[in-house]
Order: sequence, then C-alpha cells, then structure tokens
Amino acid sequence: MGQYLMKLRRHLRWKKAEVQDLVITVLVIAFIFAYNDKQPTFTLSYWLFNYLKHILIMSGVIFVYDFVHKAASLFMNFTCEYKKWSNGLLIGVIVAILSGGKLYVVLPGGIIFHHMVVLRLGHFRYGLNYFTTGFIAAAGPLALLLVATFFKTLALFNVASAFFNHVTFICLYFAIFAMLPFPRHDGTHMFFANRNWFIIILFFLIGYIFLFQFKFYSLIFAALIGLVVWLVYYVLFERGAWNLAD
Amino acid sequence: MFIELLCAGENMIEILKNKKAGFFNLTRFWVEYSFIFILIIGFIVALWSGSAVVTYMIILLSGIIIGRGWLLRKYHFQIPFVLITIAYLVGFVFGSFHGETKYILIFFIVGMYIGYVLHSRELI
Repeated sequence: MGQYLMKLRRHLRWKKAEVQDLVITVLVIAFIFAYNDKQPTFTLSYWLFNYLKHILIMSGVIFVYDFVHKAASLFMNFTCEYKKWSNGLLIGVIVAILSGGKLYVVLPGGIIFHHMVVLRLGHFRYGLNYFTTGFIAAAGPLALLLVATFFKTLALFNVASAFFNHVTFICLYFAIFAMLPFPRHDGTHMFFANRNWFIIILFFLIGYIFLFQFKFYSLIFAALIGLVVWLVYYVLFERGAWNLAD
Repeated sequence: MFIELLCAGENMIEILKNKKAGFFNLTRFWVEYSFIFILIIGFIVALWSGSAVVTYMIILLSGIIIGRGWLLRKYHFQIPFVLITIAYLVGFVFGSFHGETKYILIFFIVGMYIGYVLHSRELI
C-alpha cells in the first residue's frame, strides 16, 4: 500500500494538453446538458447560471472519471492520458441543438495508455496488453456508478434532493456513454479486452438504470441483470462464435 | 463504380446482376453505399432543423467535423472522402427548407476552414 501511495505521489500528473482536453470536454458536455434549461421563456442570466451549475457538476464527474483511470492504471504500473474525441463532442452539440436539448448524446473521448518501463519490470505480460487496459478503462464508468449511488443515497435522505438527483442522472448517463464501443471510449478498450466482461459491465450499468426507473436502487440486482444478459449472450452468440473458430 | 458502369455500355446490366462483382458487393462498392447512407443522414439532419438559424449552425458544426476529416485524409482516401462530403452536402441542401442554399454553402466552407485550421495548428 505504501508503495502504491508513493507511486501516486510521484506519477499522478496531468499534462498541459490533457488539461486542455478535459476543460474542453467539461465545457461542451455542460453545454449539452444545460442547453435546455426547461424554462418557458429564455432568460440569459438564468441560462448562464444553469450553465455554470452544469460546468461545476461536469468538472466533478470528469475529475472522478479521470482520477480513477489514472489511479487504476498506476496500480497496474501504466500511465494513462485523457484524449477528447472532437467529432463526438461536436455530434453531441449538433444533436442537442437539433432536438432543442431534449436528447443528450455524450461522446467525450477516453484514455490512451503509456507503458512505464521500469515499474512494469517483472510483470507477466510485460508490455501493454488488451486485457489489462480493458479493465483499467472499465474502472472509470464503474467509479461513476458508485458515485451516482452515493449521490442518490444523499438525495433519498432529502439532502438537496433535486440537485443530487440531477448529478446522479448525469453520472449514470456519462458512464453508459463511456462504455459504448466508440473510438477512444472505455467501451472500446473493454470490447477488445474481453467481450464477455464487456457485456457484463455494460448491462450492469444498464440494469442499474433500468431498476432506477422503478425506484429500486440495488447494485446487487443490477449485477444479476448483467450476469443474466451475459448468459443469454453467451448461449446465443459467443458459444457459436467459438465453435465457428474451430 | 459509376464510371465503370458508364464505360461498360451494353454490359451494364450484366455487371449489376453479377453477385460477386455487382452492386451488392459491399466491400468493393463501400464508397457508393456510404454515399447513399450519408446522403440520407444529411437529408434527415437538415429536415430536423426547425429554423434557418439552426440550419446554419448545424452546417457550420458539420463543416468543422468534415474539415478535421479533410486534414486526416490529406494523403490517403481523398476521393472517397470528397464523395462522402458531397453526399452530405447534397442531402443537407435537399432537406433544408428553412435556409438558403448559398448561405448553407458559405457556412459549410467557413466551418470546414475553421475545422481544418484549428486541427492543423493543434489549437483544439
């Protein structure tokens, strides 16, 4: 543990280009969520206040998302760097404008990995490999799920419930979109690492949101949904795919 | 494929009927398929935009995306990307009932220039 803390102290850094990408991502995604302020008439001051509120929320969400990625990758003796997906962010803005802010498409980007030559010495599978990077990538959305659960619990105890409900919604929305297999997204890393685990984690998140709709907040039942969907997927597709390979 | 068909003359029907080399060969004629798909996407996007201002904003943002694409495909896949760009533009122009065509073209070119310059100078 002490060694890990030393690694965090020594290697947990954000490059200038990375910070720039993170700031752009925060501003754009906050715009996507804040585009429709749900007011009957447009008031600039109210809209700007709403936008600032969303910038604050998105800063927190993206900080957690990126910090967990970095911490997980240092645990495996890699470093990772956030890269935005410009096209994805612009597509999100286009859809927000077209739908009048009713549809949110959040395609933020993801992480790229760097190999730490010295710290990785002695590890089996010395270099960068799909399996490890896939699981590091999955840490971000799973951390957001836990954060969403925490905020939902606060909202259930009537601690600024409207605000924390909205934060929960944004966390879950971001986590689901991050797990989709688009360029640079975490879902792509996971998809290439292991399709079975990709299905389990994706449907764990979707299952949580499904139960959320019925006001049933349970990570255990969400995990069960993920496992059931994985079993169906395995029987219907994966098993046959392996047989074809033979 | 269009040029190939035009040059084929009387054999045009034979080429289209041929299952291996005909129109339904997706790997061979992927540009034509992409052309049709992007044309429809452009049409739907333009149809969806409810006012002239939104139409111009959307074409400007689309131009920025395509400008980045032009930069990335500067040395390879130029012709397919030009065809796909034209498809999007044609689809968008046909689908837009709120904006004027000349302004759509101007905003598209301006957007492309912005996207190209911003990405080539690594400003974003």
